Amino acid sequence: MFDEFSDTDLAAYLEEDLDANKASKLEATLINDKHLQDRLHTIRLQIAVGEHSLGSIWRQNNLGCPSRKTLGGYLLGILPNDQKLFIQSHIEIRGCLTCQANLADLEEQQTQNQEELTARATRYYKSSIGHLSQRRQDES
Amino acid sequence: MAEVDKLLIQEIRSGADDAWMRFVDRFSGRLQAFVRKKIRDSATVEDIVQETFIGFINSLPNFDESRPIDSFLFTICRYRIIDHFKKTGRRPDISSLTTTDSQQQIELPDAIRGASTIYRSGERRRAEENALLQILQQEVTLLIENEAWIKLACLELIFVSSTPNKEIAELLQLSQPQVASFKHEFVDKIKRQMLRLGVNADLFPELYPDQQA
Repeated sequence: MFDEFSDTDLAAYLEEDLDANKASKLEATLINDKHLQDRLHTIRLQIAVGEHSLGSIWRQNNLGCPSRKTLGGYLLGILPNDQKLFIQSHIEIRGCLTCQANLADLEEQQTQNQEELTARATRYYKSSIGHLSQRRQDES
Repeated sequence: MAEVDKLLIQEIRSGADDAWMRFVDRFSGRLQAFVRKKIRDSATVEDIVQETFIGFINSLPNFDESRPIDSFLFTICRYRIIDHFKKTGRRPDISSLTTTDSQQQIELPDAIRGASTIYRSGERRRAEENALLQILQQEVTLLIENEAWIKLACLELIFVSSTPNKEIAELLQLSQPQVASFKHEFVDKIKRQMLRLGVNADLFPELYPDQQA
């Protein structure tokens, strides 16, 4: 029988690195699927003892993820067809969350008011600079 | 890590507050977009991004500059999301397992471990995984340099998504024997390199597709 969710999917789910649609589907299936529950438990134990599959190592280290510049080219539609197909497959089928986020951010930069983006960054800056200063004091 | 990022980290370490502002400005958008994929409540999203930046500050003394910053930040961010879901009871609690140190043994039934998998110390296992990572990095870089995009997409779908060959063939307009051949060739290459480095390939069942259930 073909399992809809691979072991790599289950590891990605436990590490919050699974595409949102697939994660929702998995959660819905988990409720009544004892076999899937057992497999998820197994993967939890494997992660616990530090075992990672080849697929997880590939995923965790973002191998093959296109650069921001390349993603920008993808958005502009200026990449060669094969490269475009790779990025499409990487983002939509493989469901790389990091690249999905980078792409969403690039799109937002094109469409969102620049002042709002600066205000957001300033909020993060103000809420974290105190920690940085404290850390520097502790080190000196 | 890109030279521009290295300089940014050096400036932050040397105490330039404006460098921290540039850092936050550079990475906040992508982190926020990442968290929004998981959490809808905007206040919680901002809290998690803020905690990610604070987590980065805390790990700055030990930050390995050979590692890309965004990959490191996304890892911190994922852990903050896991913590959030744990607190709100939306995900299974894996913290007690993920913090296991290398000396602690958890008994795994034989069926779970696979016939060829033997218990190794955490340290040795990490060394073996690092060796595999280096080999994979080399191979993926080579595919990118050669602009072998379809082959890269095919291998990623096989190994990362476990997408069935038939589906991959349809998506990438390949024949099923071509998909199988890419897989076979890649597995052979990885196994050869592992053998050359004296690393035990048996630990990675994906390299023995014929033996997998």
